[in-house]
Amino acid sequence: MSRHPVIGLVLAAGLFAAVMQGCGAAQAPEFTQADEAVIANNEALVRLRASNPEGLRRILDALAMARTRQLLPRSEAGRAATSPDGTSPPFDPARNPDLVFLQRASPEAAHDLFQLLKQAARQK
Amino acid sequence: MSQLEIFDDSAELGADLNLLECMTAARKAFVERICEESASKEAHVIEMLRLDSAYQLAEFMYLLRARGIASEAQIRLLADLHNDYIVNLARDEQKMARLGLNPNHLLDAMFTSDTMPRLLQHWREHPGAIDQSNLARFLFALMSAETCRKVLVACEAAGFIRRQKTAAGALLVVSRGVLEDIFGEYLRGLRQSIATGATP
Repeated sequence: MSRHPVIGLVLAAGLFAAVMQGCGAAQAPEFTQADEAVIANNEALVRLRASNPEGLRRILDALAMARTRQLLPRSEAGRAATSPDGTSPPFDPARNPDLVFLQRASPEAAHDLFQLLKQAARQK
Repeated sequence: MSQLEIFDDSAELGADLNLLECMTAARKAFVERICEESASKEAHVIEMLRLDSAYQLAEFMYLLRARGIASEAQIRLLADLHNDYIVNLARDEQKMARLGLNPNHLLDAMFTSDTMPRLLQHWREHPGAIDQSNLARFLFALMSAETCRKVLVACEAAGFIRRQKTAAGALLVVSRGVLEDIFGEYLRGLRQSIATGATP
Protein backbone atom coordinates (compact mmCIF):
# COMPACT_ATOMS: atom_id res chain seq x y z
CA MET A 1 0.00 0.00 0.00
CA SER A 2 1.28 3.45 -0.93
CA ARG A 3 2.20 5.79 1.88
CA HIS A 4 -0.26 8.35 0.70
CA PRO A 5 -2.93 6.73 -1.43
CA VAL A 6 -4.80 9.93 -2.16
CA ILE A 7 -1.71 11.63 -3.47
CA GLY A 8 -0.87 8.48 -5.39
CA LEU A 9 -4.30 8.38 -6.93
CA VAL A 10 -4.09 12.02 -7.93
CA LEU A 11 -0.67 11.52 -9.47
CA ALA A 12 -1.82 8.40 -11.30
CA ALA A 13 -4.83 10.20 -12.68
CA GLY A 14 -2.61 13.10 -13.67
CA LEU A 15 -0.22 10.82 -15.50
CA PHE A 16 -3.07 9.17 -17.35
CA ALA A 17 -4.51 12.49 -18.41
CA ALA A 18 -1.10 13.74 -19.50
CA VAL A 19 -0.71 10.73 -21.76
CA MET A 20 -4.16 11.28 -23.19
CA GLN A 21 -3.35 14.92 -23.88
CA GLY A 22 -0.18 13.87 -25.60
CA CYS A 23 -2.22 11.67 -27.91
CA GLY A 24 -4.48 14.57 -28.68
CA ALA A 25 -7.46 12.60 -27.37
CA ALA A 26 -8.43 14.75 -24.41
CA GLN A 27 -11.47 16.98 -24.43
CA ALA A 28 -12.36 19.58 -21.85
CA PRO A 29 -14.30 17.68 -19.19
CA GLU A 30 -17.65 18.87 -17.96
CA PHE A 31 -18.65 19.04 -14.33
CA THR A 32 -22.19 18.85 -13.03
CA GLN A 33 -23.49 20.83 -10.08
CA ALA A 34 -23.03 17.74 -7.91
CA ASP A 35 -19.43 17.49 -9.12
CA GLU A 36 -18.87 21.14 -8.30
CA ALA A 37 -20.11 20.58 -4.75
CA VAL A 38 -17.72 17.67 -4.23
CA ILE A 39 -14.83 19.65 -5.72
CA ALA A 40 -15.53 22.66 -3.54
CA ASN A 41 -15.63 20.39 -0.51
CA ASN A 42 -12.22 18.83 -1.12
CA GLU A 43 -9.08 20.92 -1.24
CA ALA A 44 -7.06 18.35 -3.19
CA LEU A 45 -9.70 18.28 -5.92
CA VAL A 46 -9.74 22.08 -6.17
CA ARG A 47 -5.98 22.00 -6.75
CA LEU A 48 -6.28 19.20 -9.25
CA ARG A 49 -8.90 21.05 -11.27
CA ALA A 50 -6.46 23.79 -12.11
CA SER A 51 -3.70 21.45 -13.19
CA ASN A 52 -5.48 18.39 -14.47
CA PRO A 53 -9.23 18.60 -15.11
CA GLU A 54 -9.26 15.31 -17.04
CA GLY A 55 -7.74 13.47 -14.11
CA LEU A 56 -10.25 15.17 -11.84
CA ARG A 57 -13.08 13.94 -14.06
CA ARG A 58 -11.92 10.35 -13.71
CA ILE A 59 -11.60 10.62 -9.94
CA LEU A 60 -15.11 12.06 -9.65
CA ASP A 61 -16.45 9.21 -11.79
CA ALA A 62 -14.71 6.67 -9.58
CA LEU A 63 -16.07 8.33 -6.44
CA ALA A 64 -19.59 8.40 -7.85
CA MET A 65 -19.41 4.73 -8.81
CA ALA A 66 -18.14 3.72 -5.39
CA ARG A 67 -20.78 5.79 -3.65
CA THR A 68 -23.48 4.25 -5.80
CA ARG A 69 -22.37 0.90 -4.46
CA GLN A 70 -22.59 2.32 -0.93
CA LEU A 71 -18.99 1.59 -0.18
CA LEU A 72 -17.98 5.00 1.06
CA PRO A 73 -18.67 6.94 4.21
CA ARG A 74 -19.96 10.37 3.26
CA SER A 75 -17.73 12.12 5.71
CA GLU A 76 -15.22 11.04 8.22
CA ALA A 77 -12.49 12.72 10.17
CA GLY A 78 -9.16 11.05 9.83
CA ARG A 79 -5.48 11.60 10.17
CA ALA A 80 -3.39 14.09 8.31
CA ALA A 81 -0.44 12.92 6.28
CA THR A 82 2.38 14.86 4.77
CA SER A 83 3.48 14.22 1.21
CA PRO A 84 6.41 11.82 0.84
CA ASP A 85 8.76 14.42 -0.56
CA GLY A 86 7.35 17.41 1.26
CA THR A 87 6.73 19.25 -2.02
CA SER A 88 2.95 19.29 -1.86
CA PRO A 89 0.69 20.41 0.97
CA PRO A 90 -0.13 17.78 3.59
CA PHE A 91 -3.33 15.85 3.08
CA ASP A 92 -5.87 17.32 5.45
CA PRO A 93 -8.87 15.03 6.05
CA ALA A 94 -10.95 17.93 7.32
CA ARG A 95 -10.49 19.68 4.00
CA ASN A 96 -10.93 16.52 1.89
CA PRO A 97 -13.84 14.68 3.47
CA ASP A 98 -14.74 12.69 0.35
CA LEU A 99 -11.23 11.30 -0.01
CA VAL A 100 -10.60 10.17 3.56
CA PHE A 101 -11.68 6.61 2.80
CA LEU A 102 -8.58 6.25 0.65
CA GLN A 103 -6.37 6.67 3.72
CA ARG A 104 -5.78 2.99 4.46
CA ALA A 105 -4.20 1.52 7.52
CA SER A 106 -0.69 0.26 7.18
CA PRO A 107 0.06 -3.50 7.24
CA GLU A 108 3.20 -2.49 9.11
CA ALA A 109 1.12 -0.97 11.90
CA ALA A 110 -1.08 -4.07 12.06
CA HIS A 111 1.99 -6.28 12.37
CA ASP A 112 3.44 -4.02 15.08
CA LEU A 113 0.24 -4.27 17.10
CA PHE A 114 0.23 -8.05 16.68
CA GLN A 115 3.75 -8.18 18.12
CA LEU A 116 2.81 -5.99 21.11
CA LEU A 117 -0.09 -8.29 21.96
CA LYS A 118 2.17 -11.30 21.58
CA GLN A 119 4.66 -9.82 24.04
CA ALA A 120 1.95 -8.84 26.53
CA ALA A 121 0.57 -12.40 26.44
CA ARG A 122 3.88 -13.72 27.83
CA GLN A 123 3.09 -12.04 31.16
CA LYS A 124 0.97 -14.29 33.36
CA MET B 1 14.12 -14.46 -7.93
CA SER B 2 13.11 -12.83 -11.17
CA GLN B 3 9.53 -12.35 -12.18
CA LEU B 4 10.00 -14.87 -14.99
CA GLU B 5 10.89 -17.60 -12.51
CA ILE B 6 7.81 -16.78 -10.48
CA PHE B 7 5.61 -17.35 -13.48
CA ASP B 8 7.53 -20.23 -15.09
CA ASP B 9 6.47 -23.16 -12.92
CA SER B 10 2.81 -23.82 -13.59
CA ALA B 11 2.40 -26.11 -10.58
CA GLU B 12 3.85 -23.52 -8.21
CA LEU B 13 1.83 -20.80 -9.87
CA GLY B 14 -1.32 -22.85 -9.49
CA ALA B 15 -0.62 -23.30 -5.79
CA ASP B 16 -0.01 -19.55 -5.44
CA LEU B 17 -3.29 -18.78 -7.14
CA ASN B 18 -5.06 -21.29 -4.96
CA LEU B 19 -3.69 -19.57 -1.88
CA LEU B 20 -4.76 -16.19 -3.17
CA GLU B 21 -8.24 -17.50 -3.89
CA CYS B 22 -8.47 -18.89 -0.37
CA MET B 23 -7.38 -15.56 1.11
CA THR B 24 -9.73 -13.39 -0.92
CA ALA B 25 -12.65 -15.77 -0.42
CA ALA B 26 -12.05 -15.90 3.33
CA ARG B 27 -11.93 -12.12 3.60
CA LYS B 28 -15.11 -11.85 1.55
CA ALA B 29 -16.81 -14.45 3.74
CA PHE B 30 -15.72 -12.56 6.86
CA VAL B 31 -17.37 -9.36 5.70
CA GLU B 32 -20.51 -11.20 4.63
CA ARG B 33 -20.70 -12.95 7.98
CA ILE B 34 -20.46 -9.83 10.13
CA CYS B 35 -23.09 -8.18 7.96
CA GLU B 36 -25.35 -11.24 8.30
CA GLU B 37 -24.87 -11.34 12.06
CA SER B 38 -25.60 -7.65 12.45
CA ALA B 39 -28.84 -7.00 14.28
CA SER B 40 -29.17 -3.80 12.29
CA LYS B 41 -29.43 -3.84 8.52
CA GLU B 42 -29.40 -0.07 8.24
CA ALA B 43 -27.26 1.01 5.32
CA HIS B 44 -25.02 3.26 7.43
CA VAL B 45 -24.33 0.41 9.87
CA ILE B 46 -23.56 -2.14 7.15
CA GLU B 47 -21.39 0.45 5.41
CA MET B 48 -19.22 0.79 8.51
CA LEU B 49 -19.06 -2.96 9.16
CA ARG B 50 -17.69 -3.48 5.66
CA LEU B 51 -14.75 -1.13 6.22
CA ASP B 52 -11.23 -2.40 6.85
CA SER B 53 -11.40 -0.62 10.20
CA ALA B 54 -14.11 -3.03 11.38
CA TYR B 55 -11.90 -5.94 10.37
CA GLN B 56 -9.00 -4.40 12.32
CA LEU B 57 -11.15 -3.91 15.40
CA ALA B 58 -12.29 -7.54 15.17
CA GLU B 59 -8.68 -8.67 14.82
CA PHE B 60 -7.63 -6.69 17.89
CA MET B 61 -10.47 -8.09 19.99
CA TYR B 62 -9.78 -11.60 18.73
CA LEU B 63 -6.10 -11.26 19.64
CA LEU B 64 -6.89 -10.06 23.16
CA ARG B 65 -8.96 -13.20 23.68
CA ALA B 66 -6.81 -15.66 21.73
CA ARG B 67 -3.64 -14.49 23.46
CA GLY B 68 -5.37 -14.84 26.80
CA ILE B 69 -4.79 -11.24 27.82
CA ALA B 70 -7.04 -11.20 30.82
CA SER B 71 -5.13 -10.11 33.91
CA GLU B 72 -4.53 -6.56 35.04
CA ALA B 73 -0.79 -7.19 34.84
CA GLN B 74 -1.13 -8.15 31.18
CA ILE B 75 -3.16 -5.11 30.17
CA ARG B 76 -0.72 -2.92 32.08
CA LEU B 77 2.16 -4.53 30.23
CA LEU B 78 0.36 -4.06 26.92
CA ALA B 79 -0.14 -0.37 27.71
CA ASP B 80 3.53 -0.02 28.73
CA LEU B 81 4.65 -1.74 25.52
CA HIS B 82 2.31 0.54 23.59
CA ASN B 83 3.90 3.62 25.20
CA ASP B 84 7.41 2.29 24.45
CA TYR B 85 6.34 1.72 20.85
CA ILE B 86 5.19 5.33 20.61
CA VAL B 87 8.45 6.63 22.07
CA ASN B 88 10.42 4.64 19.49
CA LEU B 89 8.08 5.77 16.73
CA ALA B 90 8.64 9.39 17.69
CA ARG B 91 12.35 8.86 17.06
CA ASP B 92 11.73 7.38 13.62
CA GLU B 93 10.38 10.11 11.38
CA GLN B 94 10.40 7.92 8.29
CA LYS B 95 8.26 5.29 9.91
CA MET B 96 5.96 7.94 11.31
CA ALA B 97 5.48 9.24 7.77
CA ARG B 98 4.96 5.70 6.44
CA LEU B 99 2.15 5.19 8.93
CA GLY B 100 0.62 8.58 8.13
CA LEU B 101 1.13 9.86 11.66
CA ASN B 102 2.46 13.07 13.15
CA PRO B 103 3.74 13.91 16.65
CA ASN B 104 0.30 15.05 17.79
CA HIS B 105 -1.15 11.63 17.02
CA LEU B 106 1.59 10.04 19.09
CA LEU B 107 0.99 12.34 22.05
CA ASP B 108 -2.75 11.69 21.96
CA ALA B 109 -2.18 7.94 21.86
CA MET B 110 0.08 7.74 24.92
CA PHE B 111 -1.27 6.26 28.12
CA THR B 112 -0.63 8.95 30.69
CA SER B 113 -0.95 9.26 34.44
CA ASP B 114 -4.59 10.19 33.79
CA THR B 115 -5.58 7.55 31.30
CA MET B 116 -3.55 4.57 32.52
CA PRO B 117 -5.34 4.29 35.91
CA ARG B 118 -8.67 4.46 34.09
CA LEU B 119 -7.65 1.66 31.77
CA LEU B 120 -6.60 -0.54 34.68
CA GLN B 121 -9.61 0.30 36.81
CA HIS B 122 -12.05 -0.57 34.04
CA TRP B 123 -10.20 -3.78 33.28
CA ARG B 124 -10.23 -4.73 36.97
CA GLU B 125 -13.94 -4.03 37.39
CA HIS B 126 -15.03 -5.45 34.03
CA PRO B 127 -12.38 -7.84 32.66
CA GLY B 128 -12.01 -7.35 28.93
CA ALA B 129 -13.67 -3.93 28.97
CA ILE B 130 -11.82 -0.88 27.67
CA ASP B 131 -13.20 2.60 27.50
CA GLN B 132 -13.66 4.00 24.04
CA SER B 133 -10.85 6.56 24.25
CA ASN B 134 -8.34 4.00 25.45
CA LEU B 135 -9.40 1.50 22.80
CA ALA B 136 -8.76 4.20 20.21
CA ARG B 137 -5.30 4.68 21.75
CA PHE B 138 -4.43 1.03 21.22
CA LEU B 139 -5.61 1.28 17.61
CA PHE B 140 -4.13 4.69 16.87
CA ALA B 141 -1.73 3.47 14.16
CA LEU B 142 -4.53 1.69 12.33
CA MET B 143 -7.32 4.22 12.40
CA SER B 144 -8.20 7.66 13.71
CA ALA B 145 -10.05 8.01 17.00
CA GLU B 146 -13.07 9.22 15.04
CA THR B 147 -13.04 6.19 12.76
CA CYS B 148 -12.72 3.98 15.82
CA ARG B 149 -15.73 5.69 17.37
CA LYS B 150 -17.81 5.27 14.22
CA VAL B 151 -16.95 1.59 13.93
CA LEU B 152 -17.84 1.08 17.59
CA VAL B 153 -21.16 2.85 17.12
CA ALA B 154 -21.89 0.54 14.18
CA CYS B 155 -20.80 -2.50 16.20
CA GLU B 156 -23.13 -1.47 18.99
CA ALA B 157 -26.02 -1.16 16.54
CA ALA B 158 -25.04 -4.56 15.16
CA GLY B 159 -25.22 -6.05 18.65
CA PHE B 160 -21.54 -6.97 18.74
CA ILE B 161 -20.62 -4.75 21.68
CA ARG B 162 -22.21 -2.77 24.49
CA ARG B 163 -21.17 0.82 25.15
CA GLN B 164 -22.07 1.84 28.66
CA LYS B 165 -21.40 5.15 30.30
CA THR B 166 -19.47 5.03 33.56
CA ALA B 167 -20.06 7.28 36.54
CA ALA B 168 -16.98 9.25 35.48
CA GLY B 169 -18.50 9.82 32.04
CA ALA B 170 -16.30 7.42 30.10
CA LEU B 171 -17.84 5.14 27.48
CA LEU B 172 -16.98 1.58 28.38
CA VAL B 173 -16.80 -0.85 25.46
CA VAL B 174 -17.82 -4.37 26.44
CA SER B 175 -17.63 -7.08 23.82
CA ARG B 176 -20.38 -9.65 23.47
CA GLY B 177 -17.86 -12.01 21.85
CA VAL B 178 -19.46 -12.06 18.41
CA LEU B 179 -16.66 -10.28 16.57
CA GLU B 180 -14.04 -12.51 18.17
CA ASP B 181 -15.99 -15.63 17.22
CA ILE B 182 -16.46 -14.53 13.62
CA PHE B 183 -12.82 -13.55 13.29
CA GLY B 184 -11.75 -16.88 14.78
CA GLU B 185 -13.95 -18.81 12.38
CA TYR B 186 -12.61 -16.79 9.49
CA LEU B 187 -9.03 -17.55 10.49
CA ARG B 188 -9.69 -21.24 11.15
CA GLY B 189 -11.53 -21.62 7.84
CA LEU B 190 -8.73 -19.89 5.96
CA ARG B 191 -6.07 -22.06 7.57
CA GLN B 192 -7.98 -25.25 6.86
CA SER B 193 -8.72 -24.33 3.26
CA ILE B 194 -5.04 -23.60 2.69
CA ALA B 195 -3.99 -26.84 4.39
CA THR B 196 -6.35 -28.98 2.36
CA GLY B 197 -5.84 -27.06 -0.84
CA ALA B 198 -9.58 -26.84 -1.25
CA THR B 199 -10.68 -23.80 -3.15
CA PRO B 200 -13.81 -22.15 -1.80
